[in-house]
Amino acid sequence: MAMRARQKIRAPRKGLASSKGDDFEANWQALSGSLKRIHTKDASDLSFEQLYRNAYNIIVTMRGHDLYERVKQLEREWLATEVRSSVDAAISPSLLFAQDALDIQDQANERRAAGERFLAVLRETWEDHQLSMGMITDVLMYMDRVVVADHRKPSIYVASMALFRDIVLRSPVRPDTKTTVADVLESTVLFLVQLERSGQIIERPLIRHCIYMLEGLYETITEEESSKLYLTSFEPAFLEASKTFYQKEGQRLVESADAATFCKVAMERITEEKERCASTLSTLSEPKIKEVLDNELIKRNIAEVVNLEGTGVRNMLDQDRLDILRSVYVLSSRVDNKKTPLTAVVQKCIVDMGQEINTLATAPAPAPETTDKKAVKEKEKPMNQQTMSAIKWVDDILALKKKFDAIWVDSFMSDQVMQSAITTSFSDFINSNPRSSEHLSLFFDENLKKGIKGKTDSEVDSLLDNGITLLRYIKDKDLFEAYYKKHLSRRLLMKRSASMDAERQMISKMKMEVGNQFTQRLESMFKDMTISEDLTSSYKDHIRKSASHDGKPVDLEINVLTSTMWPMEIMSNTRDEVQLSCVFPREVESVKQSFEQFYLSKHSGRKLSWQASMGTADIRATFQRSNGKTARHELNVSTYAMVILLLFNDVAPGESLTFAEIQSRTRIPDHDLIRNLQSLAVAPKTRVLKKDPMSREVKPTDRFFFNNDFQSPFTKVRIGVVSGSANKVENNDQRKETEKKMNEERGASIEAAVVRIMKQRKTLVHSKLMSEVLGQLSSRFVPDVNMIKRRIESLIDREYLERVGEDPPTYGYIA
Amino acid sequence: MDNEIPLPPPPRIRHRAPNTPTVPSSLHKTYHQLSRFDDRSSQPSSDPALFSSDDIPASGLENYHAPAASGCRKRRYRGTWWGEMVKDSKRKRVDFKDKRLVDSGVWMGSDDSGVDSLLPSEDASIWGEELLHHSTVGRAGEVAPGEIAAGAQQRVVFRKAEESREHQLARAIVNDCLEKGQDSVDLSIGGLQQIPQGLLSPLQHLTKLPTVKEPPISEDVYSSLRPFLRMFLAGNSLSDVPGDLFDLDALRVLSLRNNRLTEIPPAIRKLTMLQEVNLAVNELRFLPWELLWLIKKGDLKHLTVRPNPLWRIDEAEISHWFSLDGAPASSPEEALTLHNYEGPAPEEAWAPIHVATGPVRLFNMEGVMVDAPPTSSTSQSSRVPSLREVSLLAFTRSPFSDLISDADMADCPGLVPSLLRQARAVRNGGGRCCSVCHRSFVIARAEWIEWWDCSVYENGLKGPRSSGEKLRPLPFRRLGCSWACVPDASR
Amino acid sequence: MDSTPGSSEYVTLVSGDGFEFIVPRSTACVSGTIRRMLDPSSRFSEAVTGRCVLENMSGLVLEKVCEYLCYNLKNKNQTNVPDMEIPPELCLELLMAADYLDT
Repeated sequence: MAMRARQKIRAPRKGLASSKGDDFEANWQALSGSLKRIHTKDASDLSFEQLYRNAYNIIVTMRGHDLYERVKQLEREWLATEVRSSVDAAISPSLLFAQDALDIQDQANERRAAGERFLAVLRETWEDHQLSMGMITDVLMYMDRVVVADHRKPSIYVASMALFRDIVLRSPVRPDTKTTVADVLESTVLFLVQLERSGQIIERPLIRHCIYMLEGLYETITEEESSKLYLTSFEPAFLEASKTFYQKEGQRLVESADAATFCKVAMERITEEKERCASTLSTLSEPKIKEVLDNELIKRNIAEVVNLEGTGVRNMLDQDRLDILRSVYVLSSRVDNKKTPLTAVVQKCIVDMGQEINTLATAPAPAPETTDKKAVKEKEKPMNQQTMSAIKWVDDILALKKKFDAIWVDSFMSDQVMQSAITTSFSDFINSNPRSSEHLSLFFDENLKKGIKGKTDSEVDSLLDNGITLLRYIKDKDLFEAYYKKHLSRRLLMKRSASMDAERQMISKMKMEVGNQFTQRLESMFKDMTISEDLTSSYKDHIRKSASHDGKPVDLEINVLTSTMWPMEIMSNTRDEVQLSCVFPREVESVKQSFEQFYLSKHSGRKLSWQASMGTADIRATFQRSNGKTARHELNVSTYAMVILLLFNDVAPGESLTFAEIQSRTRIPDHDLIRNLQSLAVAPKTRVLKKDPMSREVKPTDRFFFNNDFQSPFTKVRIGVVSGSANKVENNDQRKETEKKMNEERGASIEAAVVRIMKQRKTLVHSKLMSEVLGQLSSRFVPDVNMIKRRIESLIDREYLERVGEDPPTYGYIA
Repeated sequence: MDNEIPLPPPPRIRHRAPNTPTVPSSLHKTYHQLSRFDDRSSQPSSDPALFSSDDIPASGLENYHAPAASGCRKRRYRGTWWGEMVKDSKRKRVDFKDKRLVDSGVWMGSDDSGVDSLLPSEDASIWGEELLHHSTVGRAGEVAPGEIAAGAQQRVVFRKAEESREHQLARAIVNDCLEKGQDSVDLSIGGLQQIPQGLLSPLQHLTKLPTVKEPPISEDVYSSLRPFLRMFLAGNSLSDVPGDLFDLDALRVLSLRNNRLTEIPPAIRKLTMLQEVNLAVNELRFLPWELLWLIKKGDLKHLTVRPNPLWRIDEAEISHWFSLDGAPASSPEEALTLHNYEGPAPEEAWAPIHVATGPVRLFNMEGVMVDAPPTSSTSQSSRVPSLREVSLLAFTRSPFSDLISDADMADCPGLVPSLLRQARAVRNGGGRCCSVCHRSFVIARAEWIEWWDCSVYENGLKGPRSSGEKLRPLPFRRLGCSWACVPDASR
Repeated sequence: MDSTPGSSEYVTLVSGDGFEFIVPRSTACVSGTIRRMLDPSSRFSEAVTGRCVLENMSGLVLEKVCEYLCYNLKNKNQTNVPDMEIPPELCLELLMAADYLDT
């Protein structure tokens, strides 16, 4: 039984809810007196519990609603009498009637002092109200929980804030005007902000506190974020004032100042406004004032600033004023993702500078071209100059590139848009130079031959990388490949490369940049070289073993080249006429045959074709001086020169051979013969032969003598072949030749691509086919649309393709 | 139970009248026994003490209950008793009552429906008051739970005769099942607007009768006597699910099809043996998360919920989308599509898939929704229940909680009465327990919808989802007992 | 009582029938009402003296309330909060105390 008694729920004692029935008035009397004392900051001997209990009792006797209304009424009275009067007293006439009196110093100062006084009073009033209402709300907590929840009323705190808004801020200052306290507050704050913008120091925390007030008050009792008084009333006014201000400021700056000043001021304004939002006004306004700045100050003026004569971006680029450029960039990127004015100027600038470089590189060239028929001397000298200028061209571009890279990183914050703009411009002007591929290849040639000597690996690396960067810009990569191949073949065969490592490095870099297909042929050139080395040594072994030779053996070093991989046509200088192979001297011929035999025994079915024009020979020459002495020199000459010189073994001293005789006995092509004879008889330091008459040009009737009086300080003499041996800028004829070949090759590539595509697709609409072909080939070159059309026609003629439809034109593949 | 609130029970007005003693105590007693009897109408009447509800610690009976598991004993007694009573159970009961009750007039009205609902309102109130005074008497232990809270008293009073017929019928069916050991309880299309208290509880003890008619030939002819309990309440007009349904822990199949249910109580979780549930054609807008729990952790294999006016995911507010591996999904499309798979269906093609989670709504200690947890408050995100919660929970657990009448509650100050009403509703629905920390609670402090695709279970595990299938998630409502019991950000 | 500083570590809760419970301030402030009562910025007498008289609460109930306040604070950051047992017969009175004290 006892247990059960314990378990029974005890009914709540009536005492908890006050038993006294109708003492609402008594409770309210106690409560209201206390609330007033809270407002007058005299609460220390009030008991919270007592007040809370008073309120609680009122509420549990169902009079909560009355209590709520009574409290509201009490607040209303308090605000309307005590609070209003102190605020009104703080409003001096200067605040009420002053307009934009910024220019008159005295008035401004007076208004400022009055304004700050007013703000201080308002701030204190507000903070007191907040504090008191906080306490009152705490005391009336239970009322809020019951009454507010039941009757869907705003909490007493919210209600009292609304009262503050209406009674203190929203009612007229004087009975005779419409100006409210809020209006005065607004104009005062705007006035102070204006002062600060013009450089004066104002009391920021004071304003900040008044703004807090506006942020803490709402238009509606639901207190949505968007209904803050700050947002509904103050902020629009602030933004409007700012707009006017920055419109004027922008105009003034553009009219009176240079671009640098504009940027500086604009940047300062940006930080200033940001700081103002953080410290004086509200961070809510930050994005909005930023927009005002962007629109009014920057967007309106940026194009003009960028293009300002004398101080604009052009000038900055010329003067390397990276810091200001950065400001320009920052400002531009704020208002325009594409930064149109800035990119336009930068692009134009790059193209201009690039064209200058182009002009510089091509300027000397026209001279020999226009006077093609002039003397050889004139033709040779500029050739070298041209090579120099080609390399200078590349260097200049690299310098320009470096400059803009630095600008891009420093000033343009590595912006993607800017990068692509810069790249486009570079590509544009580089490709506008028709010789860009050749120049670039020459640049590599020069560096791989000489330039990299004495440089560290990393230097070589960066040098090559620079070149590769330019390669990226070049559209006709196949043209570059042709030149590179030509230059490379010379370097390899003539053993001119400074470092094979560097060559290979270069190949792998190109492979990375342009792709496998591009370097395939270059790589096979290297492979041929390696195989040939092995071949030479195994041939030597073979000779040593067979050992049945008589007399002095001829040392043979041979390069067997795969004809399709090497630029044969360039090396052999064959024109269209049929080439008869050169007649080698007996000794050489036997060695040649011996090697052919050896080689064909290893690789039957192959055909060796001897390229004498590319070879060299070491011969030992004995010069019988007139004084009876004998001078010996080891001459390093081209194969053709060797053939010519060996002829003189059979010529009695003092006898001579004519050009025609030499030609008929050697069958060396005219072109090569002339050049070799020139180097043997005309070049001042290497006159192993004497020529009659002594002139530069070689005529068929000229006679050649062995020059026993040949003098050289060195035992070993290297006799180069004039022109053709070194890699130089092509002359016009050669270029036409190259272009022609290039076009043929491109035609073949296009056909191959078309057939490849059609084989896969069977039938295809013309436009689709075109775009696929362009896509496939774009990595190598930019095909000419007409050329593609012609090739398609040709393929149709040759019955690889057929027309299967006319509208739209469609092709079919014929298997 | 919500419909109870707008209908203030008549007793409230007179309750304060201090004239309780005018009612003879005999009436009170009569009523009492009657009510107990009524609740257990299918049980033997000869020894009420034996079958008193377990949660009442009636001191006089404790010794009796102690030695054996009460369930076994009861079952045995009942079994034998039915054998005798099977022909005419109803008349038997009347006889029995006649034997014990002096005032049969009171009895007549209350025959089959909720006792309180049939009593004249005055009597009811008096009874409530009386009970307070007399609760020390042994009889008080047998008060059936929920008499005060049983809904819609007035309506019941009006349709007394009609209602009772339906309840009678239902009761007859239940009794029949109990007697025959029939484990398929079909109360469908019975016109029931509510399930009378205590109608279903006896089924807890249902045992199948051995079906073997002839001597066994092999092992196979024996079948388990454990009932494969099936409950069909389809085609009635039920507006809420009675809490004692959830005490039938052997229930395997439950059909509530075609009723007027607006909510399934979370207590359905207690039915861990459930294999098949049909909730179609109701007024459900969401499902209890506990149903999902039964799928995942329990035995539920076939869930029929459509059609119902369920919330649609394309109209719902979603705060997180999930992809299959639980990572945040980048788009609703991603979350709503099963990934493509090849070959045999992966495990996840069978399992329920969490597609999305709706925003969490938080409630304060009084169950009023709040916008956001105030950051200043100290214990806001702790899991400690509020003192209100602790008190309310104790209230729901106390067997005496029904002794507090509505009128008593209304007399409490401020916000207390509504809390008490909520507590009672929760208790009648079978109780609630936090879906995150599993603590029992009364006032939910957090609520959110989780969207899970259970299409495999909706079609009864017939096959996996097909590759790349569009998911059709169902809204499951989860309740949390504190502001710390909210969905984990990581899932 | 004035000698007790407003910000001292302990506060005194006094029941209507005169029982005093001295509890840590942090514990007392679990209750929203008491927290406001003791808020130093408001300078009510309770905040000044650190003594809160809860007129309408019996010692029996206030004792249980204090027990709850301790229980709440102790388990504040626990993930597994043990149940607090309260005598069923007090549950209504405690409910009303909770309502009054906002806890």
